[in-house]
Amino acid sequence: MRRLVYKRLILLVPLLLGISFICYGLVNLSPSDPAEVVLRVNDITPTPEAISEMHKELGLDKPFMTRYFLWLEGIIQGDFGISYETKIPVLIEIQRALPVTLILAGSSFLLIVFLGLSLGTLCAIFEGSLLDKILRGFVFTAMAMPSFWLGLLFMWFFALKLDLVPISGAEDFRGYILPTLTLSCSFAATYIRIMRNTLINTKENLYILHAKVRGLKKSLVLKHQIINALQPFIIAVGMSIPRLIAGTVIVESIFSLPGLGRLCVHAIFSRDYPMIQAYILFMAVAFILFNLLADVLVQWIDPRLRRQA
Amino acid sequence: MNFWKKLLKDRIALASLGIILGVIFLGIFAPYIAPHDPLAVNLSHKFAPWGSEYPLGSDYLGRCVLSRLLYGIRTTIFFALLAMLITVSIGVVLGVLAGFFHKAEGVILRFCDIMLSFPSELLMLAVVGMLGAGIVNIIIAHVVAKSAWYIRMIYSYSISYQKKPYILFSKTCGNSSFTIIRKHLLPILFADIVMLATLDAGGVILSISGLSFLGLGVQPPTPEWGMMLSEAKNVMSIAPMEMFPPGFMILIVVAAFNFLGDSLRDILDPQYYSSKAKI
Repeated sequence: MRRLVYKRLILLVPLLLGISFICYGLVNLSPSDPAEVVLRVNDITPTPEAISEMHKELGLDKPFMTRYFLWLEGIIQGDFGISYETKIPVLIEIQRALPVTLILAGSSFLLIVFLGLSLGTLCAIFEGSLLDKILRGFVFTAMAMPSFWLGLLFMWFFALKLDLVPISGAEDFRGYILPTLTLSCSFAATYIRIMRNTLINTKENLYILHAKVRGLKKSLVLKHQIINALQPFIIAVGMSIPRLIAGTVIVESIFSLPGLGRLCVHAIFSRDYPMIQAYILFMAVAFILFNLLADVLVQWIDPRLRRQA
Repeated sequence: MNFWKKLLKDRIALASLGIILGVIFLGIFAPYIAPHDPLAVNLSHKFAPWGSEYPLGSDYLGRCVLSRLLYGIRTTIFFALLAMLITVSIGVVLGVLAGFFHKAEGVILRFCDIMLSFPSELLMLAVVGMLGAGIVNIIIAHVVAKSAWYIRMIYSYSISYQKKPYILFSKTCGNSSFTIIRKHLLPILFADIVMLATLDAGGVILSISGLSFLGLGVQPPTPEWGMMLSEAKNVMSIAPMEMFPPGFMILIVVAAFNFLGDSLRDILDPQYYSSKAKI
């Protein structure tokens, strides 16, 4: 087990290097000159002299690989560069926005896991019943529901009509209720579906038959079934955490939460490249780490996989 | 043919297909059906209620919501279909190449592995971030983000079909690889490609209109459903009815594509239900 974790951690190094290179390389594919962007953002007319001076200031006159290694060196030391627009270090901006996004993604995550496990199991136990049909209807609607419309509907009904929660902003926990519900909806639907289908598939396995023949209590049989159905669930959940954080982009924009997603959208509009790079690098690293975590968890739950590895 | 018989029996699939074709029809003939010019500003009629003059009301500039909705099919659905067409074409060409020629296999698959190590939502955001807002850039972003997945899927299908006796026979007869691909592989792949594309279409529509909702996609005043919703958001307290038509249309179209895709998968792959892959 420990060896496996070490092996995966060592493999992370080339992967992270590759991803950092892609992140950096993408900016150089961009059609506009960063120096010109900086000048425009600060309301300076981009004359050729001003541009070449800005090139020197940003270090753009050096060759590509040199710039990449300088950038990488900075990142290892926690220096993500300075935002073109606000002139504040990118790291500080991210640190400011991160808690909002983490609270939103974290609360949605808990809600999704809870709903997925409980409702998925209920659906599988009462397969074909009215409850199952209603929940499956919900699943299919939620999977086709655009999150930006759902957010608006929630906002209109709960904030404008009933005046239960604030319309936007994140002053206290009540501001997070609607964003969390909006973000969770489509994910919860996916996991209810996964849990239900894997549980129904495991029903026919021989060890379940054996457990029933031995006369074990129904709840005990169910427990075995659930443990065996957890594997695809955990893999899917692990994969979806970064998607969840990426999904906050739309939800944060609807409810005006000052989180990472809104920061990124704003950076795209103002062509603030250091900001965009940092956001993408951050998300990619999160994606890889959570994948690793899910893999390790799955192997920890299922000893059969450990022996194969 | 067995496939058509099964499809005709599946009422949900037929209804979904009807909705999709109907919406596409409305989009093509939007200029003849729409009651008003979708871009005509008429400030004296702003926030008109639902009625005979403006069937679905008018927005904050007095533009007819129904007309904008109909013209919005041209941007929302047609751009989504265009993005998918490009992605699928790349997927078919490279997927078949990788499946059929061992020299290309390694390179193409390693390339896919790298692309797939990024979540596609993030990759789309990254490409749009670098290229800037605009519908062309969104389509490019979509192609970059989604091609690898199609290449992978079509590669695995073409590998499995190569064990079919008639393809082995054709090889033994000394037919050229190109002939085998054209006459035997592509026809049998076609159904799988349609199924993959249909399953994916809903997601494409959601992501394109989502980016437009954020203001990164289609630029005003061109009507687009996601952007209409973001305009409706700004006037929510005055005209709450304005956000219903575009949202409802997205929901219906995406649901129709999802249902049709599910039905096609069940018809093409009956073992899917019993197999463990049903996730």
